[in-house]
This record gives sequence, structure tokens and C-alpha cells, in this order.
Amino acid sequence: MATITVNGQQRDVSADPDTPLLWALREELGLTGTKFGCGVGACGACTVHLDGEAVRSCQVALSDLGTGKVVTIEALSPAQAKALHPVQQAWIAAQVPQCGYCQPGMIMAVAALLARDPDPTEETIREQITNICRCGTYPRIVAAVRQAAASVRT
Amino acid sequence: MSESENLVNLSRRGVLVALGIGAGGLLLGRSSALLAATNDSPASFGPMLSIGPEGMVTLVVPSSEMGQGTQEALARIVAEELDCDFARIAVLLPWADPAFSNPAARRQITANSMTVSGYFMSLRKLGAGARAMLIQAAATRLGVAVEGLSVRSGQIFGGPRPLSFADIAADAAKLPVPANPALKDAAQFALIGAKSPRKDLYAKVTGTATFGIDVAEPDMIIAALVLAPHPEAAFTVKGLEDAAKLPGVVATVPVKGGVAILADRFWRAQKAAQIVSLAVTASPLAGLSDENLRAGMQAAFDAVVPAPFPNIEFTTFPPKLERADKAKVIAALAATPHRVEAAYEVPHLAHATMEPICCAARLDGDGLLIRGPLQDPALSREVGAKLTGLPLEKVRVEVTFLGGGFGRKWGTDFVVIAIQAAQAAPGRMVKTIWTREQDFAMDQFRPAFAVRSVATLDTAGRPTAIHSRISGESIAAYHKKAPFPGFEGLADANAAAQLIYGAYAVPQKLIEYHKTDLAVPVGFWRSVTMSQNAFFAESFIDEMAFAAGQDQLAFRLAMLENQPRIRAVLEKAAAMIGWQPRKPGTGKGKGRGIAFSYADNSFCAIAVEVTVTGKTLKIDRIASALDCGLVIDPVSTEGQISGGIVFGLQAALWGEVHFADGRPLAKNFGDYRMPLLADVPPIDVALIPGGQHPGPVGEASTPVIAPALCNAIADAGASRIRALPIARTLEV
Ligand code: FES
Ligand code: FES
Repeated sequence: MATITVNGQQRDVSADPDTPLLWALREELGLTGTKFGCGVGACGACTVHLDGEAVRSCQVALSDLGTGKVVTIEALSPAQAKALHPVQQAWIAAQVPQCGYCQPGMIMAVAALLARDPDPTEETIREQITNICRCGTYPRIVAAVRQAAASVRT
Repeated sequence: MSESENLVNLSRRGVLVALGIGAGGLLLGRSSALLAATNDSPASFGPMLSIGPEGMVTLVVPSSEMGQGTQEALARIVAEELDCDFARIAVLLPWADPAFSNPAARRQITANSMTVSGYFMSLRKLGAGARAMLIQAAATRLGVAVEGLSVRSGQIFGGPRPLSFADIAADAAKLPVPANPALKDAAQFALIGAKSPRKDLYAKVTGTATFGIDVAEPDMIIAALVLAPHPEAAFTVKGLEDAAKLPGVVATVPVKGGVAILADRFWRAQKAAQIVSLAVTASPLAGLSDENLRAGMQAAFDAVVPAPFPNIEFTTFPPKLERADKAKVIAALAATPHRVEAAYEVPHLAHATMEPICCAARLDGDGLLIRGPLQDPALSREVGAKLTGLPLEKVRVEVTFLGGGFGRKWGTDFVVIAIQAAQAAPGRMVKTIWTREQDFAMDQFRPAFAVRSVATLDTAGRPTAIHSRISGESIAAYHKKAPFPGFEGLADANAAAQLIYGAYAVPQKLIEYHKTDLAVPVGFWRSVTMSQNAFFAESFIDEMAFAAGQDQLAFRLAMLENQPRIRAVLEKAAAMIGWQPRKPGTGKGKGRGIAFSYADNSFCAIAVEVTVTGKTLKIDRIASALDCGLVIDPVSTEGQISGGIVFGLQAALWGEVHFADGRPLAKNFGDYRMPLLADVPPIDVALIPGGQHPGPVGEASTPVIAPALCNAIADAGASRIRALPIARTLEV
């Protein structure tokens, strides 16, 4: 039994210690917003925040988590906040999602980017966001990130 | 009580509880199918629409939502005619029911980009019929004539005070359904054509949308798989007993083409699956490699008697098939000395939906429940009945959101496996999850094809005859499908249709298919036939323009005099990149290319600008113009075009499934490169409005980017690319 910190709560998880965080989130805690896309760290569908950094949760074993604080898409906009996170708002305004499967991971990656760089250039955005979107929603993503960045700054 | 009523009632209870609106509202349709009474819409729509006592409108959208936005589009169509408050309409995902059939397909299937066009008229009538009943009920209540009443945003005006739908819904439900309700004039449309965000976006940005992989129940079992390289392969299994002893493992089960390991958690099932191995003793793919695959397709040009395929004339509906006179074509080709000849090829392609293949099923005393990301719920239901021996009414199929479909989730191979896994654990939901590696290896690929084309030009440089032959595997043959009605004795349309565009006014055209037996699992991949034939057809036309020394756009337009809508999209896309007429191939490293595809009521052109420096390709920009008739949701439509271009760009640049030792080699995204944000050039999309009826969108742009790019590369002065993917020749 491991105790992990997810979305601000201590949670006991009985999964095998080598279980990737991705599957512990999805199957032990029912947090299915974090998606399985490849299992090898290549697609980013499983992106969560670990101590504020974007990580691909399929590549983090439960036993390696220690006291790290995990935040998933379900808690990106805190429950007490009335509105969605600026990235989520920008995603709706720019109508980014198609099938939507990659978008929780995409949004978590962008939110982490904006947390460390509140005004990223287009080049930075293109270099730093390396999640795969099979529906090809990329053309709207750069504008949506800039929109989100502008509203984070104000 | 009919089967569909039964299901409806069951589901209705669930719905009403979920929405907290209690029973007693208006339920339109039932099995008495609102639309069955109308002559031009024989499809029954049954129980799609209800209005609760609080005025909440609930609509079951009959199509599968896989990113294309038809859930939103269909809801808009109903709401437009109903005049309800669109903010107060709850949209539900469908289940399998004959009442939900697409009138154009005559079954409940989401494919071929025909959802919006297929359901358009029936759903308008559904909304308009309900509106007429509500007005009638209000008129009776108020003791006034219906003519004095009007509807806006869920309120009926004209009486002493406005009546809401909630006030009148129960009365309205008792009225007869009008056979031919008056429809709005297109000029009155407010929701149709609006740029407002889709209803599904909130769930998709908060992680609350339920995809197939998210199906969950207490006590659920997860199945991981060990799969042979082909569904029909024979094999022996090693390691099962050890796997069965691992923690959490519930059962090991033979399934079609492999073994399923059932456990309480995915990771445990997966760990157990990894110690099981299959030794293949016989496989339809035995010995297959890239080399003998290509050799087989080339050999078929001589060894296999070709089947013809007619030109398709889309200006009539259903499209007319015009058969070529082979003798005349051959004579025309022999008569003129100015010949253009070329050979092309394209490889197998994977779907790689972002959500790997998955499906959940539960078999218990009530019957079989299937829940998953399904493009063909109707067929999944039939498959479920057949496998379990249950009558159809005991099989319920519920469609989740699809994390991408692109044709892959039209197949039922994974549904079969999911049901077989569930049969081993009666009473419990069993969710089968494929790994990404299995999703690649056991895909039903877009087939590889080879083409040989020859044309003759007259002294003015205009083609007088084109003969194109294609070889490769038949999707219809792999799935043992009979030809479409009216296509008997002809080539498989999935291989051969539009190999030469019927739209071009060329006096003699002949398409032939040398069917090649390969036994690679193949299936429908976004845009199907056009995915290969737009490349073959539009590359070869471009080569003729080069041979004639004429500007590529002008050369095309001269053969499209009777095609105003194609001309318009070509001219628009060209204008968007500032196309200037000049001799082709003289770009000196800077090339521009153009191409188009079309279907009934849908026309898409793409123009691109590229820079070729030595062996390196840079795509400078992409512009696309689309005329898909009436646009229901312009922002979503633009997204389908730009997203479809990115999808096609992947195939054009890098898409290629290699084979060796009788199995596909693609394992994960590392072996099948996907475009990332940094790879995608600027893409502009223009929509050209065209008419009163919506046309297909989802597949329109995908096949066009490859020929546009290769044409631009040739225009830059680099060697023409005749074999995809481009990365075989150039670095990107
Ligand atoms: S599932 Fe973790 S990166 Fe793809
Ligand atoms: S929206 Fe479908 S994969 Fe990104």
C-alpha cells in the first residue's frame, strides 16, 4: 500500500508498486481524464503535473513517486474556483478539441509551460509542446496558448 | 411492446434520472417513428427527442462522435427547426437501435462523411414536427388560432403571456405527429451556420468526456491481449499457466487470433500477458516482406486479368457510372505520338487513433451489454448476437465518445475479441484494452497500391485519352463483402473509383484494377479510395501539365469548364497563396502545387508553397478552399479541413507500415512518426458557401495534401515524387 498526494489529497493506493502512475490514477482513483495513448512516453496523452512540472505519467512508477504532489486535469481548475483554468477557457474559445482524447494531456502540458514562462514566444510553444494530436488540432493551439497566456498575465 | 420501445424505456429512465427531470415529459417518436409517415424519409427515427417538465430538451444524437463534430451539427439541425433554447438542450450519445439509422446508409453507422448530409432532412422534420405539435397544443390551451402564435427560444408567444415548452409539452405529446411539417426557409437559419462553440468542448477540456477506454464499473475486469500477427494465424501458446498464477489474474481465454488475460487491473493483466508467447505455426502473412509485397503488386499488372471501373458522374444522384469503351481508349492511345507515362505507389497506412482500440462487454442474465468506441453499433450488435447465440433484442450496444475513429472503429474485430473475453467472466464487465503496439500491429491498414498510367496529348497539349491501372489488395475481398448493388462485375470501388477523375473533360478514360491477393488485414482509412487515388489522379494530371508546358492551374481549369464548383475552390485556393501563372517546373527551389478532390456536393482544393534545398523539403504554407454546400458549424468544419490536412500530411511525409518476416513492423509512435506542433506549417482554410444542403466534410481534405505537395516539389524543379511517403526521397 502506497500513500500518494493527488489533487491535494492523501490517497492510499493498493496497486503493485511498479504500476505506472497513469494506471493508478485511472483504475485506483477513478481519475480517467488522464489518458493512455502509447505507454512509452511518446504521445503525452497521460501528462499530469508532478510538483508543478508536466510529466508523462505512464513513465512514472508508483514506487518512484515519493512525496511528489500530483495534479491531474480533474483538479486543474480548483473546485472552489468558479471558472475553468485560463488554458481550458482558451481551448473552448478557440474551439481546439476534436475527438478530445489528447486534450487533457495537451492542456496539462500547456498549463505547466505557462506556469514557468508566462509569455512564451511562438517558437517556444512549438518547441515545448510535444504532445501528439491525431486529429491534427495543432493549427489552433498556438493561438489558444497565446490567448491563455494573455489572460494568465492580466 | 416492440424491442425498440423496450430499450427506449429502459434508457429513458436512465436519462431522466441522470438529468434529474423526472418522468412525464414529452417523448416524441417512440416506435411509431415520427418520420415513418413521411414518404421521402423511410428511416424511422424513433425515440430521439424529449422535453422534460422543466423544459429541458433531451436529444439522443444517433451518430458516433469521434471528433468530427456531428453531435453538435445534428443537435443544431433539430434545435433550429424546434426553436428551443439551445443552451437548454442536453445531448446524449446513442445506443444501437434500428430507429437511429442514417437514412442515407439505411443503417446506424458513422462513416463515409455522410452523417450530416444523411440525417439533415429527417432531423429537420423531427424538430419541425415537434414544434408544430407544441404550437397546436398552445393554440388549444389559449383558444387561439395557430397562425397567431410564434416560437422563440423555447417560448410560445401570441397569447396573453408567453407559454414555455415546459408548460405545454405534456399536451403536445398527445397530438398526432404531422406528416409533413413546414420547414424553415434557409434565410431564417440562426443556429445553422453560427460560430458558437460546440457543446462537447466543456467535457473534453475538463477530462470528463467518457471515451471507450474510460468505461468503468465496480468489480470490473480488464483484459490484456497476446495477439498473433494475423487474425487467422494458427499458433501454439506458451506460458499461460505461469501467467494464470500471477497476482490479480482471473482467467486466461482464447480469443480470435490470440489469448486474453483477464485481471483486476490493466497493469497486472499486461504483466501476465508479457510472459505469454505465441509460436505461429501457420499464417496467411507467412514470409511477407516489403520486397515481396511490392513484387506481388507489380506482378499483378501482368498476371491478373483487370476488372474495369466506370467514371463517376456526381452531377446526378445517385451518381451515374459511365462505362468506358476499352477498344476506343486503346485506339486513341495508339493514335497520338505525344504520350505521358508514369508509375506510382503508396504503402500501407495505419489509423493510429489516439485512443487505442478498446471495448467493454458484460454478459449476464439480462443479455449482453457492449459499451465502446464504435462507428458501427448496428453491426456490433449483430456480431454480439451471433457470438453469444442471444436474440438481437437481448444485445444492447452503447456508444461512448470515440478517441478518434478514422475508419478503424468501423471494424468489429475488436468487438469480437471483447465479447469473447467477457464470455469468460459472466456477470462482470470486462474491458479489453489493446496496447499501442497491438493497435499498430493488428490494424486493418489502408492497403498499399501500385499504379501505371498512360495518357496522350493533342497538339494543343490537351489530353485526349487516359488509361490508368491499379493493383493492390481489395478491402471488399478481405472482409468477404459482396459488391455494392449496381457494382457487380466491376472492380472494387475502394481500390479503383476516381483513379482518373470523372470531372475532367477528357474524351477517353479507362480505369482498370488488377486485384492482388495479399491477405494483409486491410480496412477503411479516412477518405478510403480517395486516400490513394487523389494522389495518383492529381499527380498524373500535373505530369501532363508539365509535358504540355502549361501552368498547372490553367491546365486543370481548361478541362473543368462544366464544373463551376470545382473551378471556384481551385481558383480560391490558388489565390490564397498568390498563384501566378507560369511554366511548370521553373520554380528554382520555390515550388507551388495544387490539387483537389471532390464527392457528391463537396469540393476541396489545396494549394501549397514549398522550398526544396538539395534533399531538404520545407513546407512554407498550405491553403485550402472547401465548398461543402450548406455549412452547419463553420468553426468545426474549418477544423475538419485543417485537421484532415494534418492527418494527410502525416501520410504524405512519413506514413508507411513496413513488413518483414510475415508481420508489420510498426510498434509504437517511435516507428511511425507523427507530426507535432513544430512540424505543422501555417494552414489557411476558406469556406465557400454553396447551396441548401450540407455535403461531406470529414474526409475532404485528407487525400489532397499529398498530390498538392508532390506537385509543388516538382514545380520547385526537384525530381517528381511518385512513391509515398515523401521522406523516402526528401528530408522533412
Ligand atoms: S501514454 Fe504516456 S506518453 Fe503516451
Ligand atoms: S483532438 Fe483527437 S487526438 Fe487530439
